[in-house]
Amino acid sequence: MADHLLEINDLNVRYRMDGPDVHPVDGVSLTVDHGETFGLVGESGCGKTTLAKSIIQLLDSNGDVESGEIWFDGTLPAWTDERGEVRRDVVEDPQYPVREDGMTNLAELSLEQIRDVRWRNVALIPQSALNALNPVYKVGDQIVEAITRHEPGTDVEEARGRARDLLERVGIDRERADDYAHEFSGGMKQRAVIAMSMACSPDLLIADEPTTALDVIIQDRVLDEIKSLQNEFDVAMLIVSHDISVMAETCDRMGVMYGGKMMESGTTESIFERTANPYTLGLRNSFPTVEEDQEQLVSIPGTPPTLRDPNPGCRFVDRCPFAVEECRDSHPPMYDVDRALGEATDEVAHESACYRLDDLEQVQEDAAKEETWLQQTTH
Amino acid sequence: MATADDPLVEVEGLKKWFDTSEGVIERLLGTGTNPVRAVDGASFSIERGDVMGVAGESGCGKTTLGKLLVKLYDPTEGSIRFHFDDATFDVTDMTREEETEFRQRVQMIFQDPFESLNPRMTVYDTVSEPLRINEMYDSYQERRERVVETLNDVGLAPGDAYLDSFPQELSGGERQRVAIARAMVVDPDFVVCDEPVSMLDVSIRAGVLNLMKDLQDEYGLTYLFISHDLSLIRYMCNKTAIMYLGDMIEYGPTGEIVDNPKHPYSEALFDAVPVADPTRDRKRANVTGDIPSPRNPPSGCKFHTRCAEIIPPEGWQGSQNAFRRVSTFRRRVLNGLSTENLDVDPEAEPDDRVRDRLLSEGLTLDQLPEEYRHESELGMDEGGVDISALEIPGDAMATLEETADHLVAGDADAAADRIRSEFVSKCETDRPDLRSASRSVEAACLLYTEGDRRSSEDGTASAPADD
Repeated sequence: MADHLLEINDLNVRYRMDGPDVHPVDGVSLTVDHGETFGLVGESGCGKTTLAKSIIQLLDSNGDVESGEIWFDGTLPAWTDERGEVRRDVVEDPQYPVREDGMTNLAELSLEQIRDVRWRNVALIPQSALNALNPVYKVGDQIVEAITRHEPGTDVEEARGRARDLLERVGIDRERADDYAHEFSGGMKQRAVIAMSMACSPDLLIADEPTTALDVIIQDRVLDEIKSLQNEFDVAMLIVSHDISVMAETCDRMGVMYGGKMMESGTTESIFERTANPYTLGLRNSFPTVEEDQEQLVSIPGTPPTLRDPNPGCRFVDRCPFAVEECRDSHPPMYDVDRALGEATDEVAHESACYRLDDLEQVQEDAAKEETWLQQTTH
Repeated sequence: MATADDPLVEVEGLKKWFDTSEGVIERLLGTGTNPVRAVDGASFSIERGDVMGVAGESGCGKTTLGKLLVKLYDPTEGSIRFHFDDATFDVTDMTREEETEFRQRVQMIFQDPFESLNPRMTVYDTVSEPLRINEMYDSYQERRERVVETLNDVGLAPGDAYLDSFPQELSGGERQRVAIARAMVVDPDFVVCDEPVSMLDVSIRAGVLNLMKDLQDEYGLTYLFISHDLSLIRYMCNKTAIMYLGDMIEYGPTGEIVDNPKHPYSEALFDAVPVADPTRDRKRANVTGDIPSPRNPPSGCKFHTRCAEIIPPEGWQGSQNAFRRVSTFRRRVLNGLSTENLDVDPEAEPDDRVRDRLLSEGLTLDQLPEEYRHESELGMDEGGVDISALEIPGDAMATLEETADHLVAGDADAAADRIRSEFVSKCETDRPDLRSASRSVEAACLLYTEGDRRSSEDGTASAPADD
């Protein structure tokens, strides 16, 4: 088994547009371990959904991975040959982009090859999961189809049984498998889609805003459900969301994206305990909490950058009250936060792309003050 | 609740039922109509200068309530009265002239600034339109000045620079500010805001919320702030109302309701809000099942079908949890529970086993978070609950078994007759109105009677009587 389940190195994704190209993911690296939950958080247009979709080549037709690698461990490679037998020799086969430790570069797979990976190794719960079910097929049959298509040779009766088991597992009566999607409530649809995504027991589950359209009580249940499924099946998850409180509750580690760049990543606890990037600090300031009375919410001045023609410096520089000259010249690399705080450990547990890490404590202190963020013109 | 000064808005017995006309099929079958009860009898008042938050899940009627207040809907029943400083309006009974004036004094801000602005109109056209319609200001010059002033007020400064922009040239935050300017330009007294920031990005949101707070001081506004996001309600509102299936089930000062919700539904709603603190282990919402249809809401307290604290009849000897389950089983029997959908095959298994299985599944609470499930529920592979582990008193158990026997024998009517008059909670028969639940909070829940309080005055709520 390799060190990580998923290892994304310096990924660049490009969308071809009428004007200049757009780079929604610009040199992002991250790792997800076996059985771990990793959260990608950021505002709309920061590139988080694009990053998630690029893993299994689900980008829109005008988008492609320009450079970078997406190494994946899982149970790959398990391709079948013409006779339907599983081939174990693909590591030596130059046709497959496999590395010595057995990881495969998903970015270089052909469309046919990546189709085998989808569902079986990596499943996606799409953003509009409530519309993901086909209205003219029975819910159970849709799960059966996912199973038989991606695990050819599976007996239909067996697949039916599995579909019913899965529905029951997420708290839906077995008999409801014969219902159509419109007979399900919103929460049930969401749970049915989650059940469907687990149909071929993938190693990695990508959930794009899994609870955004749901009411709070249903959201609560779905999060509970995701957690217990994860414990049971030991599946790793990549959750994409704009809601930092959902992230705080569900993720082991998380990454904060802004303007196509990873701004901060690390263990969830460390990111909340010692937030080390001005953008994350600003984001937390602007989030109301139900727990306590807040004197004043502070918004980040300005608006998120368009991804067309980004400036050469830090993506956040125009809105950052802590920007110095250096920030205008180049986007900062990821620095080890613990080392900057003088608590270096062997393993890097928390990184931040910011040139001001050296005076982190001062930055944190100032960021808590409203006047710090008011200096610039508000929009 | 009424004070010496008249409240700004007084609402009495307000109802809005949709789809009330009888269709051909209903007329032929003589079944009568089954309208959607979006707002089902709300009575409350809003004081001058209040920011009243209305929270609840989708379909609870909060948006309908907002639209009724600004007369975008006409109520099916009930009255809405506005007491402005110089005039009183009875919204259900206005002359044309009064209505014109009323429409200038109350405004509404909609959820989606990408939808609510006409893409073919410039910012000036959009914001000045209410002035033209209400025939305010005589000349173009005056109108233009007023528009620029308002744009500056909403943070689109300098306003001149925005006048000729089209919506698609603006960011989401700017668009919503234009929508706010359009509401503010006529200098209203009362504004209904329907999820005003839910379409905006987080870093932009706080700015718009703070703007709305500033405008309240500047324009002397009273807001009705509709949101599903309880953290936003907490931040914006001094009063909060919680709605469920068309009923206002709790109303009072925001701080008290958030810290110490009185109605079991409010409690569940607040428990369900995620907390931005990875080290905290949050309590989850103790609610079972899904929201019933507003076409056919449950009798009595509409929440009784899902409530953890459903009140047992006098003389109930078992635990609260056991009663909640028994009441659920009873409802299932009355709704046509049968052996058909059981895991076991009724033909192949002995009747005893089928009966136990029926009870075991019938007594299970659906979709309860793990922490509230009975320990025997967690261990059982085939689902259901271990009936012997539940604290159901012997005589009650006998009734349940007799009922189940009828079902095993295939006689659903006999089963229903056996259990119909047993285990009747007053939550099912009596419909609670808003009543005093603490010094300042009102809740529509039978746990409270005037003067008799579940929780002590120091504000510590009693723990739910669940195991």
